[in-house]
Amino acid sequence: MTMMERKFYNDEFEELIRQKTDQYKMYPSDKVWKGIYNSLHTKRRRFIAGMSVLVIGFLMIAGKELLMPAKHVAIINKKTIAPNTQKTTTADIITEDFQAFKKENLIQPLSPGTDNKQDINQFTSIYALPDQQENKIPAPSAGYINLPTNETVSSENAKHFIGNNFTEKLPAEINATSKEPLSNINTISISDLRKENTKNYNEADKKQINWLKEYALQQLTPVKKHKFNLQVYVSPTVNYRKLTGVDYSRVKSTIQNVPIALIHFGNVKDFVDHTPAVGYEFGGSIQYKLTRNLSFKAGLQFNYSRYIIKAFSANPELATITLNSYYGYLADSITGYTNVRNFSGKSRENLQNRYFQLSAPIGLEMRIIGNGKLQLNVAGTIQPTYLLNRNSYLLTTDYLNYTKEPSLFRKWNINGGLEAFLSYEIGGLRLQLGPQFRYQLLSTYVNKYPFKENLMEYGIKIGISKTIR
Amino acid sequence: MTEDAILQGCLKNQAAAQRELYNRYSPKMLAVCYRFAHNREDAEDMLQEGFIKVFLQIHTFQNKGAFEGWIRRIIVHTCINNLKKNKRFNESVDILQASSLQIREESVPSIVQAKQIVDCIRILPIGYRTVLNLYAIEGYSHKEIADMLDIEESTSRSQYTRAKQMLEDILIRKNILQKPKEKIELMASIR
Repeated sequence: MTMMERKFYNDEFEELIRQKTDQYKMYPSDKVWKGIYNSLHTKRRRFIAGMSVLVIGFLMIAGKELLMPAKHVAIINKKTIAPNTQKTTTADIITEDFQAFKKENLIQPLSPGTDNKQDINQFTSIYALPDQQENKIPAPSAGYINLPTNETVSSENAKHFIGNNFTEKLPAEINATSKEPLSNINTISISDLRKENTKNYNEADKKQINWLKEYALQQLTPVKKHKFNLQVYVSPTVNYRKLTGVDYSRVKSTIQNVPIALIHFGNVKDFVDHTPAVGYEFGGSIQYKLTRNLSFKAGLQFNYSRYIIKAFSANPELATITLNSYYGYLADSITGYTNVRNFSGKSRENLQNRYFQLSAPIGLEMRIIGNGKLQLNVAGTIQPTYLLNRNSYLLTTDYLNYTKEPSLFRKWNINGGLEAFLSYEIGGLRLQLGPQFRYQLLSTYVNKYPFKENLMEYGIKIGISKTIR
Repeated sequence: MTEDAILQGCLKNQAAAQRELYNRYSPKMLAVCYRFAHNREDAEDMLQEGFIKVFLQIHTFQNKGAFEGWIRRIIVHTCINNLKKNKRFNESVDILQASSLQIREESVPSIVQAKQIVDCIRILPIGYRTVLNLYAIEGYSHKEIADMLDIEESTSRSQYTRAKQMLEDILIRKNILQKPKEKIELMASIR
């Protein structure tokens, strides 16, 4: 082979390699675009992450409220709320008073400018038990009122007992260093005591007694009306969609917008084979009682809805979506590759169109009948909704293929919800069960996609609610 | 969508335009990646990384050359960087060892198609394959290849010569090509 021949051969060889490799094409899997999209549009991911944290946090708080009852009930409230007719032993009440005094630090001024601490010290120097004095607990004690434990007084009287009935008996003067048990303390009548004590002490007693009365009354808390309810719920649902679109047989002028694909005339719903599927929703809400029968509610809810598409698998082929063009000069179609056909193909395939949504139901709930444990309620909500995924299938405008085109999905939507339910109160919780219906008011797709899809759900809502105290 | 509309949309970070650009060029670019990569998964990783760079750097594209060529250059550089990063390029077979490399007979199909040529290229040791890809197919000069791969220009030349020889041998063994003396007529029939 001559040099020239060799060079010619080399050039031809390189040309052959270049030409053949340039002809070669490969179709990447969906995850590649997903990865690119997620990298480029991080704001959306952050939003989803933020909302997820919010929902999880809300559900955790709701769960905690429902499962763990409130523990912080003031001891004093237990007494003051008791009805007048309730009989209580004086020893019980005084012991409770003592515990309350121990918990509530009494060494604080009653009013500005008054040094209450000194008065209390005077009081306790006379009547307090030695161990209390050592521990500097400035409180009255069961030790200085020695009454038979079987003697009973009403709660109301008991509250004023120290002020009004104190003349019964008072403890004897106690040696401050004495370690004698309480039972061994001798008592004397108050008349004797008055004789023995100076006039100043009596005045000090009255001051303290009046102060105690006042203090006790201050602890009386009015019964609160609890207006807030917390609710969590879950609903198994059956999901489907309402599909509408341009009927090209009637609107022939739009044919010009379908430059490539074959057109099937007729309504889109007649050319697809879809079936309903089961989904679910769960969430939580806070209710505020506006009136006795009407409540306002607001919350967060996660929805998973889907339906089945019966289609066919095929080799990769072009899929064209013709877009509604409002201005005339913008691009009017999107072309991609798909391996899913609507009418015929290599093998039958059942696809699922899944929608993950986050919504914030806001609405009203009304009690229809029932007053006590069993009630019948109805509720209606409007739900601003954010679509978390946009990888569902779209029908091409020639009805021939299904393809994925995330840019044609509407991110924000509005749903309407209606429900009726029976509720039953048991153990501080209210259980509810009833049918619900949810309808997506705007199309799943943006306006430039010629077909419209409105999702709908029928479900059974199971919920638990609890009054927030 | 016109190329200009796609470009404008991508400049505004519009997902629809980005998707359109991706749909249009990803099949060809994945084939490019596949010639450099160890397997399809690696090729898809390279493609993803490359397209992210394309979208992030799209504002640097000046309408002086072909858009596809610009994208292709970014993809090729991404592949090379990826090979360097994963040290696969450094593991390339030594020239002397490579000349005695056994070719797996069953790995080469018998009908001449683009895929067969690509498969034959992928049989080559990665060092040979990279230089061959860059010089014969992507059109880089030996100097550019030397800069990209951090090797001597002479090394690039010798690697290419041997790579081409090896590929030719493979193609001849598989009856895709005939020996040089019988040469061009067959090659013409292949096309």
